[in-house]
Amino acid sequence: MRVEYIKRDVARKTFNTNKKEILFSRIVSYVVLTFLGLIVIFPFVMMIISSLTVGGSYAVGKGEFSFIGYKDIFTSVVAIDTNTDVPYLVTGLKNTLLITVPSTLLGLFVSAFSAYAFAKIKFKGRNVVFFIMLLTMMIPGSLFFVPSFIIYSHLDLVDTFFPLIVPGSFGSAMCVFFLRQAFMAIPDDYIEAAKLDGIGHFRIFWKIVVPLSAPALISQGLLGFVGGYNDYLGPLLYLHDPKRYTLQIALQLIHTQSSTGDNQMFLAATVVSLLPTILIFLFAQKYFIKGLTNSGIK
Amino acid sequence: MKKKEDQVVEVENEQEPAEIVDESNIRQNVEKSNDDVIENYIALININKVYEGGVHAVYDFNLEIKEGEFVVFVGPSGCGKSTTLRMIAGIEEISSGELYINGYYSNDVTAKDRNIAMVFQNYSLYPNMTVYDNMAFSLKVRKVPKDEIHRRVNEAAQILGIENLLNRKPKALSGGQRQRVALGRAIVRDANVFLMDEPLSNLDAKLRVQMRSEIIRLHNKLKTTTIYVTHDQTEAMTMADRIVVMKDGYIQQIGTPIEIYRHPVNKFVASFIGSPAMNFVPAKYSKGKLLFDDGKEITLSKELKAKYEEYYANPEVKIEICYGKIAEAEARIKEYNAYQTKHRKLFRKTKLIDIENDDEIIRLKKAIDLFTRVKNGEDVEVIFGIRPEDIKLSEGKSSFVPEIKISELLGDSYFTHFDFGGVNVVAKIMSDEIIDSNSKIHLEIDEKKIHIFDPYLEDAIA
Repeated sequence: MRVEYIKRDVARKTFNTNKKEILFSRIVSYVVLTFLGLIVIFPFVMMIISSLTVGGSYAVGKGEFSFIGYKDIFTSVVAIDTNTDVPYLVTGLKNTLLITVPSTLLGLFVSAFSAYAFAKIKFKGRNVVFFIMLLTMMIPGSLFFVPSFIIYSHLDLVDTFFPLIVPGSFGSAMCVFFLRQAFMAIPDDYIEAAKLDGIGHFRIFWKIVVPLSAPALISQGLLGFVGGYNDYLGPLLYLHDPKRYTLQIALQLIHTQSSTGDNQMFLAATVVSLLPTILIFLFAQKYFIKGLTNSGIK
Repeated sequence: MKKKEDQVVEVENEQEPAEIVDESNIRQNVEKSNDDVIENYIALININKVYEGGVHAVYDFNLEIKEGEFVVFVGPSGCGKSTTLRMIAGIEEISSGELYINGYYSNDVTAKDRNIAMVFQNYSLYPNMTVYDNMAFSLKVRKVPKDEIHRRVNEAAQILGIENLLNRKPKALSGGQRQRVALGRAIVRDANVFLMDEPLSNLDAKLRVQMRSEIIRLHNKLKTTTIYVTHDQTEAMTMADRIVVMKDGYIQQIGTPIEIYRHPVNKFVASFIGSPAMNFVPAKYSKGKLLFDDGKEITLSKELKAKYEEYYANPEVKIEICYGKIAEAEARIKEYNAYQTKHRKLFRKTKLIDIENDDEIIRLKKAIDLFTRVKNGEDVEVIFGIRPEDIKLSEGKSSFVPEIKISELLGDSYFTHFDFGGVNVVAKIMSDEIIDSNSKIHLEIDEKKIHIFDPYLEDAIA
């Protein structure tokens, strides 16, 4: 029996419309995504351009190009703490790191530990405790401001870093929830094998669970760090001495102290203050995305 | 395991109040075990597992395992074999009963102190460590000196032929290689007992056969007491010194492979061991003969006849036993129903069990009816069982000539399907001649290999 093959031209004609459709849908998605991308990136581009324009004008191309804003952050009288001669931005960055790094690390550690318990240790009332913990996520954070402030002022801890470090160090319900999902994806067999190998929960956590869920831990750490880094209200409430101002407060200070209408220095400071987080994200991007997608689904 | 005095007993954590034994009792047990059970390396006495929520996974498990023995737990999935293994390993709590390892009461000994190595179904190699580190991990944890670790890992790697894989991560290994590493991880431990939980079921058929013989070779070399769990009867038959057949949490039979193959105690064991499975045909017993629905007859040997008569010698006793079982079943159902009614929210979608229509009770009632008829001297129905390999080509007089419906060529033999006594029967026929479907051949049944079962209790009569 001879088989009749359908020739290439005929076949192409048959499937032609299909190909066009694919092309069309691809073009549409590219256009839409590019547009959305532009919307996201627009403020950043504006910020960078304006920080390089005399007067910080938003009208692109009108002003004169200049690096003066970046120089001013470190030299201008308004950007320097006159008592210590250190630029606000530097003190701010130092203080922000002093607050954020320990609270992020401690918080991550505590969250991961409790997430491990919720995911891998069977104990009575586990689900009830977990549910209660999730319920705390429903309470708006702003409710705590006044009572917390009263407590810290009674303890004479206002105008220190403690009120900003301590709450974060207890981890967060969101982080526990997220890490619990990630840990649950680790098969119980590893834990059982490790138990037979002779280690307890603490070492199982360090030797097995942490390496296996590094992406999730890194992404949670990053989220926590960025949250602390960007915190404005907390430092505003508790820190009064300019020596202890964080980066966000320092930015606000630079903004209010610079002459009206001239945004160049402020915008330059903003760009500089963004650099650490952007750098960290670039380095950890791979893990960050892996962590979010992996533990989100399973 | 060295016998250490401090390793003897802990009583504080005994779970079930009913099972609490005072310390002196346990000491007695230990002493007793020193006298009687000591040569049995592992002893499980009345072990039960009841999960939270009332699921009873293992019932009164009793088994004694000798040092160096290779014991296989086999049964369909959900029969409790893995649960039992995990209880021995110490990663599942024992609800009641006593576990002795090397003569010591071990219920409360933690997993790491039982000195047991386990091979898991999915290997459970730590993905973040190299093969070497995976194998060395448990030794590092136990603070074994570095040179000693190095020596042991290399020795195990050599035995298993994985020396060249030591620096790889598990990700970069094939299934068979991972399996070897998992075995290696157990070997380096120098453990008292190896537990293997379906270690070959993730491998392809060819590799499975290869690894099977490798595990046997390993066991012959190391002579470590091994408990092996599988649902594959071929693995059980080929590897075991002794097989434990399980179903629904109960031990069905314990014996050597040949015992279990030749003398299954009930219909379940008969059907589970052997491939293809044993054929079962309903028949009626009458004066030393088996009568089938399609008019065929088989005359039983004197031996089989004697066994039949022995089984039905005391129908009154059997009836008593059945009544006892009915009472037990009813009590169990009532308890279960009461539990469900109490926790109605949990069991919203399940119905209460109707005692009158429960399968087990109906079956027992039918059995009582049958024993009553035996008592009245009537002939009763039985189940005739014959293995496919016990039906042979024949030229003799006792042959029958069925029409082959399907004939499957295996190479040296055929699986032939035909009707016998109204049901489809498979025979494994060794033949150089070609056997076609729809052809007719002369067959005979090996009368020495006939099995007869009670139709309702399903116990082996002969």
